[in-house]
Amino acid sequence: MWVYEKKLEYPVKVSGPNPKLAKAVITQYGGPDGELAASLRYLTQRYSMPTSQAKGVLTDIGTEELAHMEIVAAIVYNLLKNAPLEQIKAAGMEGYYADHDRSLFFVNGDGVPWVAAYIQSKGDPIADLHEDMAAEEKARSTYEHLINLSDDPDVTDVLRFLREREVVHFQRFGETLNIVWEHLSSRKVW
Amino acid sequence: MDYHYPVGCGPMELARAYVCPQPAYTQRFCPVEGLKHGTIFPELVRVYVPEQARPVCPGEVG
Amino acid sequence: MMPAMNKDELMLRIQALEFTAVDLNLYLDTHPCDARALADFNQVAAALAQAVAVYEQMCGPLTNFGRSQSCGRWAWVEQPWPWETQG
Repeated sequence: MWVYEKKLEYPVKVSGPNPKLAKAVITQYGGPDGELAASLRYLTQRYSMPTSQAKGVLTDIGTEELAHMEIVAAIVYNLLKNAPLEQIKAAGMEGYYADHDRSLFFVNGDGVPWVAAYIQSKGDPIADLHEDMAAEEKARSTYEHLINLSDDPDVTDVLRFLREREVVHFQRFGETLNIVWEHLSSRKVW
Repeated sequence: MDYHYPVGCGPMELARAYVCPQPAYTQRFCPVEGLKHGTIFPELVRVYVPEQARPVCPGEVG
Repeated sequence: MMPAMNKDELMLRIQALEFTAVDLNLYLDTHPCDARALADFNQVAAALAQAVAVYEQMCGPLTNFGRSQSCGRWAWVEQPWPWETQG
């Protein structure tokens, strides 16, 4: 079960309204390699993992990804808050504004809605852990692209934090892969 | 529980991926430094140089 | 012993301590036999609990569903919320 802590994992502030940047950053909220995809992927894979240690890693990283989703939401919320319509139009966000005003929704940078096909739970622990490692690399890569795009140093600072977390998560999933492989080898289940 | 890490402890197998396990840490950042870096472990920090900040060699593309 | 801090300094301290606990938690998930890391984690967890207690005295509950008490009024539904960081 989950409880909610009324704080962000990392502090967020922005320099001012910036719909153009929000339009790019939102992909880490509702896009293919974003935090919603990461958290749901890990939280659904954990049920069929063969070792208690793997269930722990997937539960813990899946939970941390929910906290990251909240951080991305806070960035986008603050970049859109009080943004004048002229800026929203100049950013090409009329379509998003028509459907959502300045609220948060699960889409990528082009407005494509989130879909469960972004994730997989194969039930094969080796396949699942490789997917998780790939997911962390894709997320890291996306944060690097967003850092390249960002013209707000306050936002860049948060993006750097989120990027480094992907590096650490990759390491933990890789260690879990080692451990699960050893476990399956010792049981000769394949 | 005793986990046997395969890396460096024997022959590596074909068709198998390995990630080097993090050795037991001896130092970590203090909490505020750790938060700023995005990890408390100095050995896991991977600095990113944004595209616009990279030096470009003549003749190099991308 | 914690020096006197204002609300923002306390929140940063809590964020820093909890983040340390998160990173140690993930490390321990793949290194469960590291006794030194376990002792380190427990020390951080104790410091975090202390900082949270001081913060909650000052600013109301940090966690829902019975993890924090609410004295005198239902402060949980009061402003601000974590994403409302400015303006």
